[in-house]
Amino acid sequence: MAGAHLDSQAERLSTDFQGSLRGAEYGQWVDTLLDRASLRDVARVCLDAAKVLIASGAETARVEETVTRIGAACGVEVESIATPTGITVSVGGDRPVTRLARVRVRTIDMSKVAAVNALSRSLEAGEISLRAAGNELGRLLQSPGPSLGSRSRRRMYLAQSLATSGFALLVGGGPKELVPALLLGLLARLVDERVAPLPPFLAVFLNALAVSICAGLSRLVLPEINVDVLIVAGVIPLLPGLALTNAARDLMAGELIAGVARGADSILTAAALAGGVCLGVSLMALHP
Amino acid sequence: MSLLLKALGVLVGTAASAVLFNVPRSALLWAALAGLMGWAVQVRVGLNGVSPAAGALLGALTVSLTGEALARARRMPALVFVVPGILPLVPGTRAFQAMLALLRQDHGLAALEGAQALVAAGGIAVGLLMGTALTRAWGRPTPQVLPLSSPPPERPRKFRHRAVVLPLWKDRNDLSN
Repeated sequence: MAGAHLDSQAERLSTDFQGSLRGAEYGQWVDTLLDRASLRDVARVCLDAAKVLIASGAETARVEETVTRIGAACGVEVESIATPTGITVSVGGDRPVTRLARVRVRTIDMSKVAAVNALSRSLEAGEISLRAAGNELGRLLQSPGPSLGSRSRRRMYLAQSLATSGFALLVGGGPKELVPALLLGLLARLVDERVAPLPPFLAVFLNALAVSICAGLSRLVLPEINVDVLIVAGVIPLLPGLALTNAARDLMAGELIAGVARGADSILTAAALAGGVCLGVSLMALHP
Repeated sequence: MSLLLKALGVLVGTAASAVLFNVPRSALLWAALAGLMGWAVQVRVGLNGVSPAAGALLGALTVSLTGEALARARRMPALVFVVPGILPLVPGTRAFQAMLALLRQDHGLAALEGAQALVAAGGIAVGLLMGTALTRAWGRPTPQVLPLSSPPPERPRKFRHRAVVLPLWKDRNDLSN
């Protein structure tokens, strides 16, 4: 019985309220209609959505917009400040419930970004209740990254070797570079998994170093191979494409702090990549 | 023929790196097509003999606009299409040549190649900026909740909200209920 009661409260929050409370005559009273516990629940859902988005590599403008949307779907005013490393959410205007969260581990997981995006859309349209959204977000928060399940791990290995050989064709490789590029991609993925716990710039540096050293070693087996093509193709998947895209999008959305921070992130990552390749090339004496 | 082979490489490489970024399966092909379009524009511009930066800029602009259009059509974030799509535009070979020249202490060549690579990378960034700026006008409208900070004074205090505790989650750590 208690469960049904809770369900109705959640429904009320997300669906019944949203039509009536958008009106100008009710607007000023919205937060007084929600009790503290409901404000806390809205704050928790907003915080969870923001945590999933930031940890999966969404742009900061999207994080803040999603949080505002969830609040609007429940009829409360929500203010938030998101940065690439954390989020502060303040729910309710008069006596707000304020929470903040740090995000320390960031990966790239576009599926989760798309899932939270779809979730905020359907919450706004009143298709699901706040409670259902909260449960789904909890599931997303706890679900492992793409590289942890064994089936998706195999898929990642396959993807990186295909990506490396595809880019080897792009940067001027021929048929004889294809198979070494496939193997190099597998190896880069292996290194990627091993260095993932390290600080990000060090991880990229070591990965680039490993790629260039192994490309150099492959010349010992196949002397007529074009090592430059292999190295360039091997490091293209390591490039900071997400950081660069997010920097551009955040700057254009007026998120100056996040935009500049992500720009610095992409420059530093590119520098670490270049350093790793330089060291590898000179160690292997590829171009004396 | 070699151009066709490269186009195949772009398609495969972009789709595979989209898998690396865990792009949803239904968007993989679209992301690869966005990458192919950007690269094709870059190659076409390059044929006219203009600077590689202009090619990178127009290519990135194409990827960005395609990504935004796909985002509207497929109801997904534009990032899903743009992030894999710009990878084929990256001036990887030029940057590598600049590094090699630095290692050989050929600073003139290093400056030349490095500057070209930097300008091309900047072109990608500017293209992305332009695409985002052009499409922001047609974005979803941000939801407006009326300001709540000051309740009107004429409402008597005793009619204001009484706290009724109806938690949405019985046990806040139990996600199953």
